[in-house]
Amino acid sequence: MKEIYNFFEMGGYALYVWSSFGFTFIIMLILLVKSYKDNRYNRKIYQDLKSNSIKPNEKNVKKPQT
Amino acid sequence: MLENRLDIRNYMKKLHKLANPGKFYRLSEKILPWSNLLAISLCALGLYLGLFIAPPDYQQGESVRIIYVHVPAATLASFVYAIMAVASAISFIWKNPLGNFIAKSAAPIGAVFTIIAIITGALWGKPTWGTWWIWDARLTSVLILFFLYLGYIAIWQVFEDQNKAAKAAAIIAIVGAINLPIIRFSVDWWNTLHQGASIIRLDGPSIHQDILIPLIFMWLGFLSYLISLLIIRIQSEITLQKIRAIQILISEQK
Repeated sequence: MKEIYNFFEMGGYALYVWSSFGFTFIIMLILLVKSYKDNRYNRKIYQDLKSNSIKPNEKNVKKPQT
Repeated sequence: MLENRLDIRNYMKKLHKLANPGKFYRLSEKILPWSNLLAISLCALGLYLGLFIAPPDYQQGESVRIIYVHVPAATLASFVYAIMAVASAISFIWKNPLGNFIAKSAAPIGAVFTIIAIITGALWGKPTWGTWWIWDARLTSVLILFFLYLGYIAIWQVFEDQNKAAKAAAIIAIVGAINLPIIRFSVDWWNTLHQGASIIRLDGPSIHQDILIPLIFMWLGFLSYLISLLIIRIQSEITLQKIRAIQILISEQK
Protein backbone atom coordinates (compact mmCIF):
# COMPACT_ATOMS: atom_id res chain seq x y z
CA MET A 1 0.00 0.00 0.00
CA LYS A 2 2.77 2.38 1.00
CA GLU A 3 4.62 1.64 -2.22
CA ILE A 4 1.59 2.64 -4.27
CA TYR A 5 1.22 5.83 -2.25
CA ASN A 6 4.91 6.63 -2.71
CA PHE A 7 4.62 6.05 -6.43
CA PHE A 8 1.72 8.44 -6.88
CA GLU A 9 3.26 10.99 -4.56
CA MET A 10 6.30 11.31 -6.90
CA GLY A 11 8.52 12.63 -4.14
CA GLY A 12 6.28 15.68 -3.67
CA TYR A 13 6.15 16.48 -7.40
CA ALA A 14 2.84 14.65 -7.96
CA LEU A 15 1.00 17.75 -9.22
CA TYR A 16 3.65 18.61 -11.82
CA VAL A 17 4.42 15.08 -13.01
CA TRP A 18 0.86 13.77 -13.25
CA SER A 19 -0.59 16.90 -14.82
CA SER A 20 2.18 16.74 -17.46
CA PHE A 21 1.41 13.14 -18.31
CA GLY A 22 -2.35 13.69 -18.06
CA PHE A 23 -2.36 16.76 -20.30
CA THR A 24 -0.18 15.02 -22.89
CA PHE A 25 -2.39 11.92 -22.92
CA ILE A 26 -5.68 13.80 -23.14
CA ILE A 27 -4.72 16.22 -25.91
CA MET A 28 -3.10 13.48 -28.01
CA LEU A 29 -6.21 11.33 -27.55
CA ILE A 30 -8.54 14.19 -28.54
CA LEU A 31 -6.63 14.78 -31.79
CA LEU A 32 -6.59 11.05 -32.54
CA VAL A 33 -10.34 10.61 -32.00
CA LYS A 34 -11.18 13.74 -33.96
CA SER A 35 -8.99 12.68 -36.90
CA TYR A 36 -10.52 9.18 -36.93
CA LYS A 37 -14.05 10.57 -36.84
CA ASP A 38 -13.37 13.13 -39.61
CA ASN A 39 -11.86 10.43 -41.79
CA ARG A 40 -14.82 8.10 -41.27
CA TYR A 41 -17.30 10.91 -41.90
CA ASN A 42 -15.59 11.96 -45.13
CA ARG A 43 -15.48 8.38 -46.33
CA LYS A 44 -19.20 7.96 -45.68
CA ILE A 45 -20.08 11.16 -47.53
CA TYR A 46 -17.90 10.08 -50.43
CA GLN A 47 -19.55 6.65 -50.65
CA ASP A 48 -23.02 8.23 -50.54
CA LEU A 49 -22.14 10.75 -53.24
CA LYS A 50 -20.60 8.09 -55.41
CA SER A 51 -23.53 5.70 -55.21
CA ASN A 52 -26.01 8.50 -55.91
CA SER A 53 -24.24 10.36 -58.67
CA ILE A 54 -22.53 7.72 -60.78
CA LYS A 55 -25.04 5.56 -62.52
CA PRO A 56 -23.94 2.10 -63.60
CA ASN A 57 -22.52 2.53 -67.05
CA GLU A 58 -22.30 -0.11 -69.72
CA LYS A 59 -18.61 0.67 -70.15
CA ASN A 60 -17.82 0.27 -66.46
CA VAL A 61 -19.35 -3.18 -66.12
CA LYS A 62 -16.95 -6.03 -66.64
CA LYS A 63 -18.32 -8.63 -68.96
CA PRO A 64 -17.97 -12.24 -67.87
CA GLN A 65 -15.29 -13.96 -69.87
CA THR A 66 -16.48 -16.69 -72.14
CA MET B 1 23.82 12.94 -72.38
CA LEU B 2 20.55 11.82 -73.92
CA GLU B 3 20.53 8.62 -71.86
CA ASN B 4 21.11 10.65 -68.80
CA ARG B 5 18.15 12.83 -69.59
CA LEU B 6 15.98 9.77 -70.15
CA ASP B 7 17.11 8.40 -66.80
CA ILE B 8 16.08 11.57 -65.08
CA ARG B 9 12.75 11.50 -66.87
CA ASN B 10 12.13 7.91 -65.77
CA TYR B 11 13.10 8.77 -62.24
CA MET B 12 10.75 11.73 -62.18
CA LYS B 13 7.97 9.47 -63.49
CA LYS B 14 8.59 7.05 -60.65
CA LEU B 15 8.57 9.89 -58.16
CA HIS B 16 5.31 11.14 -59.59
CA LYS B 17 3.76 7.71 -59.23
CA LEU B 18 4.73 7.65 -55.56
CA ALA B 19 3.25 11.08 -55.14
CA ASN B 20 -0.05 9.89 -56.61
CA PRO B 21 -2.76 10.27 -53.93
CA GLY B 22 -4.46 7.00 -54.89
CA LYS B 23 -1.21 5.04 -54.57
CA PHE B 24 -0.48 6.74 -51.30
CA TYR B 25 -3.91 5.80 -49.98
CA ARG B 26 -3.46 2.10 -50.68
CA LEU B 27 0.07 2.00 -49.30
CA SER B 28 -0.90 3.91 -46.16
CA GLU B 29 -3.71 1.46 -45.49
CA LYS B 30 -1.07 -1.25 -45.10
CA ILE B 31 1.18 0.80 -42.82
CA LEU B 32 -1.54 2.06 -40.47
CA PRO B 33 -2.14 -1.08 -38.34
CA TRP B 34 1.61 -1.42 -37.78
CA SER B 35 2.17 2.19 -36.78
CA ASN B 36 -0.81 1.93 -34.41
CA LEU B 37 0.64 -1.20 -32.81
CA LEU B 38 4.09 0.38 -32.55
CA ALA B 39 2.72 3.59 -31.04
CA ILE B 40 0.87 1.73 -28.28
CA SER B 41 3.59 -0.80 -27.46
CA LEU B 42 6.53 1.63 -27.59
CA CYS B 43 4.74 4.20 -25.41
CA ALA B 44 3.70 1.45 -22.96
CA LEU B 45 7.28 0.21 -22.75
CA GLY B 46 8.68 3.73 -22.45
CA LEU B 47 6.18 4.64 -19.71
CA TYR B 48 6.93 1.45 -17.78
CA LEU B 49 10.69 2.01 -17.97
CA GLY B 50 10.39 5.75 -17.34
CA LEU B 51 7.99 5.62 -14.40
CA PHE B 52 9.03 2.40 -12.64
CA ILE B 53 12.60 1.50 -13.61
CA ALA B 54 14.45 4.78 -14.27
CA PRO B 55 15.88 6.39 -11.15
CA PRO B 56 14.98 9.93 -10.02
CA ASP B 57 17.51 12.67 -10.84
CA TYR B 58 19.93 13.52 -8.05
CA GLN B 59 19.11 17.23 -8.30
CA GLN B 60 15.57 17.37 -9.66
CA GLY B 61 14.19 14.32 -7.90
CA GLU B 62 11.07 12.75 -9.38
CA SER B 63 10.16 15.87 -11.36
CA VAL B 64 12.71 14.77 -13.97
CA ARG B 65 10.17 12.22 -15.22
CA ILE B 66 8.42 15.04 -17.09
CA ILE B 67 11.30 14.62 -19.57
CA TYR B 68 9.55 11.53 -21.00
CA VAL B 69 6.72 13.60 -22.45
CA HIS B 70 8.40 16.99 -22.77
CA VAL B 71 11.39 16.06 -24.93
CA PRO B 72 9.60 13.80 -27.47
CA ALA B 73 6.85 16.40 -27.92
CA ALA B 74 9.29 19.32 -28.20
CA THR B 75 11.62 17.66 -30.71
CA LEU B 76 8.77 16.35 -32.83
CA ALA B 77 7.12 19.80 -32.76
CA SER B 78 10.06 21.12 -34.80
CA PHE B 79 10.32 17.92 -36.83
CA VAL B 80 6.67 18.15 -37.94
CA TYR B 81 7.23 21.76 -38.99
CA ALA B 82 10.21 20.65 -41.10
CA ILE B 83 8.00 18.02 -42.77
CA MET B 84 5.38 20.70 -43.38
CA ALA B 85 7.87 23.14 -44.90
CA VAL B 86 9.48 20.53 -47.18
CA ALA B 87 6.11 19.12 -48.30
CA SER B 88 4.85 22.65 -49.00
CA ALA B 89 7.98 23.52 -50.98
CA ILE B 90 7.70 20.35 -53.08
CA SER B 91 4.04 21.04 -53.71
CA PHE B 92 4.77 24.66 -54.55
CA ILE B 93 7.53 23.85 -57.04
CA TRP B 94 6.16 20.71 -58.73
CA LYS B 95 2.45 21.57 -58.33
CA ASN B 96 1.79 18.21 -56.75
CA PRO B 97 -1.32 18.06 -54.56
CA LEU B 98 -0.02 15.36 -52.21
CA GLY B 99 2.53 17.74 -50.69
CA ASN B 100 -0.27 20.12 -49.73
CA PHE B 101 -2.29 17.29 -48.23
CA ILE B 102 0.73 16.24 -46.15
CA ALA B 103 1.44 19.78 -44.94
CA LYS B 104 -2.21 20.52 -44.18
CA SER B 105 -2.60 17.24 -42.29
CA ALA B 106 0.63 17.72 -40.35
CA ALA B 107 -0.16 21.20 -38.99
CA PRO B 108 -2.63 20.25 -36.21
CA ILE B 109 -0.35 17.42 -35.08
CA GLY B 110 2.57 19.83 -34.88
CA ALA B 111 0.45 22.35 -32.99
CA VAL B 112 -0.53 19.67 -30.47
CA PHE B 113 3.10 18.63 -29.95
CA THR B 114 4.08 22.29 -29.50
CA ILE B 115 1.41 23.02 -26.89
CA ILE B 116 2.39 19.82 -25.04
CA ALA B 117 6.02 21.02 -25.02
CA ILE B 118 4.97 24.45 -23.71
CA ILE B 119 2.58 23.18 -21.00
CA THR B 120 4.82 20.36 -19.74
CA GLY B 121 7.73 22.80 -19.91
CA ALA B 122 5.86 25.17 -17.61
CA LEU B 123 4.97 22.29 -15.26
CA TRP B 124 8.64 21.32 -15.21
CA GLY B 125 9.91 24.88 -14.93
CA LYS B 126 7.88 25.74 -11.84
CA PRO B 127 9.54 23.22 -9.48
CA THR B 128 12.95 23.38 -11.20
CA TRP B 129 13.45 27.06 -12.13
CA GLY B 130 10.83 28.50 -9.79
CA THR B 131 8.78 30.01 -12.63
CA TRP B 132 6.11 28.80 -15.04
CA TRP B 133 7.26 31.01 -17.86
CA ILE B 134 10.11 33.31 -18.80
CA TRP B 135 10.59 35.29 -22.01
CA ASP B 136 13.86 33.69 -22.93
CA ALA B 137 15.07 32.64 -26.38
CA ARG B 138 14.09 28.97 -26.34
CA LEU B 139 10.67 29.43 -24.80
CA THR B 140 9.81 32.42 -26.97
CA SER B 141 10.93 30.76 -30.22
CA VAL B 142 8.79 27.71 -29.39
CA LEU B 143 5.82 29.98 -28.67
CA ILE B 144 6.39 31.55 -32.10
CA LEU B 145 6.37 28.04 -33.57
CA PHE B 146 2.94 27.53 -31.99
CA PHE B 147 1.64 30.75 -33.52
CA LEU B 148 3.08 29.75 -36.91
CA TYR B 149 1.08 26.53 -36.73
CA LEU B 150 -2.08 28.43 -35.78
CA GLY B 151 -1.49 30.93 -38.59
CA TYR B 152 -0.95 28.13 -41.09
CA ILE B 153 -4.18 26.38 -40.01
CA ALA B 154 -6.10 29.67 -40.13
CA ILE B 155 -4.94 30.42 -43.71
CA TRP B 156 -6.72 27.31 -44.97
CA GLN B 157 -9.94 28.50 -43.33
CA VAL B 158 -9.71 32.09 -44.54
CA PHE B 159 -9.47 31.46 -48.28
CA GLU B 160 -12.54 30.25 -50.11
CA ASP B 161 -10.47 29.20 -53.13
CA GLN B 162 -8.46 26.15 -52.11
CA ASN B 163 -5.74 26.77 -54.69
CA LYS B 164 -5.11 30.25 -53.34
CA ALA B 165 -5.16 28.91 -49.79
CA ALA B 166 -2.62 26.26 -50.73
CA LYS B 167 -0.24 28.88 -52.15
CA ALA B 168 -0.56 31.27 -49.20
CA ALA B 169 -0.21 28.42 -46.69
CA ALA B 170 2.86 27.07 -48.47
CA ILE B 171 4.51 30.50 -48.32
CA ILE B 172 3.84 30.77 -44.56
CA ALA B 173 5.21 27.25 -44.01
CA ILE B 174 8.38 27.91 -46.03
CA VAL B 175 9.13 31.36 -44.57
CA GLY B 176 8.37 30.16 -41.03
CA ALA B 177 11.04 27.49 -41.38
CA ILE B 178 13.56 30.23 -40.48
CA ASN B 179 12.34 29.70 -36.92
CA LEU B 180 13.60 26.08 -36.82
CA PRO B 181 17.36 26.77 -36.57
CA ILE B 182 16.54 29.58 -34.14
CA ILE B 183 14.79 27.07 -31.86
CA ARG B 184 17.59 24.54 -32.22
CA PHE B 185 20.44 26.93 -31.48
CA SER B 186 18.65 29.39 -29.20
CA VAL B 187 20.21 27.68 -26.20
CA ASP B 188 23.70 28.25 -27.64
CA TRP B 189 23.26 31.74 -29.10
CA TRP B 190 21.62 33.41 -26.13
CA ASN B 191 21.85 33.15 -22.40
CA THR B 192 18.81 31.20 -21.41
CA LEU B 193 17.35 29.35 -18.46
CA HIS B 194 16.67 26.39 -20.69
CA GLN B 195 19.48 23.86 -20.66
CA GLY B 196 21.59 23.18 -23.74
CA ALA B 197 21.28 20.16 -25.98
CA SER B 198 21.94 16.98 -24.02
CA ILE B 199 20.91 14.23 -26.44
CA ILE B 200 21.81 15.15 -30.02
CA ARG B 201 25.39 16.34 -29.53
CA LEU B 202 28.60 15.92 -31.47
CA ASP B 203 30.22 14.14 -28.53
CA GLY B 204 27.25 11.89 -27.80
CA PRO B 205 24.42 12.17 -25.30
CA SER B 206 25.26 13.66 -21.93
CA ILE B 207 22.40 12.13 -19.97
CA HIS B 208 22.64 8.79 -18.22
CA GLN B 209 21.46 5.76 -20.19
CA ASP B 210 18.94 4.81 -17.46
CA ILE B 211 17.06 7.97 -18.44
CA LEU B 212 18.08 7.94 -22.12
CA ILE B 213 16.72 4.47 -22.95
CA PRO B 214 13.13 5.04 -21.75
CA LEU B 215 13.29 8.43 -23.47
CA ILE B 216 14.22 6.81 -26.79
CA PHE B 217 11.29 4.39 -26.49
CA MET B 218 8.92 7.26 -25.74
CA TRP B 219 10.32 9.23 -28.67
CA LEU B 220 9.80 6.31 -31.05
CA GLY B 221 6.31 5.82 -29.62
CA PHE B 222 5.47 9.48 -30.27
CA LEU B 223 6.95 9.15 -33.77
CA SER B 224 4.68 6.16 -34.48
CA TYR B 225 1.71 8.16 -33.20
CA LEU B 226 2.74 10.93 -35.59
CA ILE B 227 2.89 8.48 -38.53
CA SER B 228 -0.52 6.99 -37.70
CA LEU B 229 -2.12 10.38 -37.35
CA LEU B 230 -0.53 11.70 -40.53
CA ILE B 231 -1.89 8.69 -42.44
CA ILE B 232 -5.41 9.11 -41.05
CA ARG B 233 -5.46 12.84 -41.73
CA ILE B 234 -3.98 12.60 -45.24
CA GLN B 235 -6.51 9.88 -46.14
CA SER B 236 -9.24 12.18 -44.90
CA GLU B 237 -7.84 15.01 -47.00
CA ILE B 238 -7.68 12.85 -50.13
CA THR B 239 -11.30 11.74 -49.63
CA LEU B 240 -12.33 15.36 -49.15
CA GLN B 241 -10.70 16.22 -52.47
CA LYS B 242 -12.65 13.42 -54.19
CA ILE B 243 -15.86 14.71 -52.62
CA ARG B 244 -15.12 18.18 -54.02
CA ALA B 245 -14.47 16.72 -57.46
CA ILE B 246 -17.80 14.87 -57.46
CA GLN B 247 -19.64 17.96 -56.22
CA ILE B 248 -18.19 20.01 -59.05
CA LEU B 249 -19.21 17.28 -61.50
CA ILE B 250 -22.76 17.28 -60.17
CA SER B 251 -23.06 21.07 -60.29
CA GLU B 252 -21.84 21.04 -63.89
CA GLN B 253 -24.42 18.45 -64.89
CA LYS B 254 -27.28 20.49 -63.52
